[in-house]
Amino acid sequence: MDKVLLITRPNYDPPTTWLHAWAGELLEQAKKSKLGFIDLSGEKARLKELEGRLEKVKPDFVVLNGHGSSDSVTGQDDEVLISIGNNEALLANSVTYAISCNSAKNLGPECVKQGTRAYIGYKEEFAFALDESKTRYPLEDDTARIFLDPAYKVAHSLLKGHSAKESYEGAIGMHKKTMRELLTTDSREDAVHLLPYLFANMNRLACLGDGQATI
Amino acid sequence: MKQKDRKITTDEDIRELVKARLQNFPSGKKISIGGDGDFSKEDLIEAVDQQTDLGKKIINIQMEYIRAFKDGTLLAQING
Repeated sequence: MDKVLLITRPNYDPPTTWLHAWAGELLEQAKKSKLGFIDLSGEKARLKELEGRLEKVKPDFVVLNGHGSSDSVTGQDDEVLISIGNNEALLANSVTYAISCNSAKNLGPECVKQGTRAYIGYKEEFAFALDESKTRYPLEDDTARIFLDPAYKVAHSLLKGHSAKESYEGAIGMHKKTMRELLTTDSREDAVHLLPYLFANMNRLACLGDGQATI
Repeated sequence: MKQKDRKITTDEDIRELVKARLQNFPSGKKISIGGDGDFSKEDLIEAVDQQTDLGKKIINIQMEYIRAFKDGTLLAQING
């Protein structure tokens, strides 16, 4: 049976608009592979839609884009999608990556206890810089790309068959490489302003559960 | 150094340091942080000044970076 990727892509404020675009690149990679995929985009990134698909399809790989807290991940219009003590068991047997603030602090460990094979996420806020003028074409935002390419490296690596730990380490490596480039470049005047947030994201990324898990 | 000569970095010192760093943040760019939203340079400086939750988050991020740079752990980390 083909493996399945389920991805939530809310799109209602600038951060989610940018994540929506970057997650779209991930979907393009999935389309080229043999992986089936379910794209819960925009209004589909809601609780009822997500729960229904998780229960019925039991995807192998789940990517949750959006805002969050230490106890939850949200979707469209900040609707809570997965939260502790509610429905975290729906992620059982999946490898999950949450590009969402704080969720690896409490929700991630609880998901692992409830059967999620591996949960990769952020222990505190995830931050990135964006260029306001690119609202219509976020993928052309080379400032945001500094942050979002390393962040999505986790998911791209998992799609290529790497383990959770390898994917996490690959993303850490890409953060480090990007930081070295920013520290030594003369071509970006804003480099010094971007580094603290990139450093924070790198340190806040966590890989929980079975590091050997693959999708 | 005598006790009376020793300078103590106060919270206000830290806020002023972070605000000074933020002064040259490029116009037209914003920082998106968590579910709080996305913020311009002016928004961030005000948040630090007003000691809001956002301001505290920004201070944490900036000071974590500055301390790691100062004590060498940042360079060790990214070159390791």
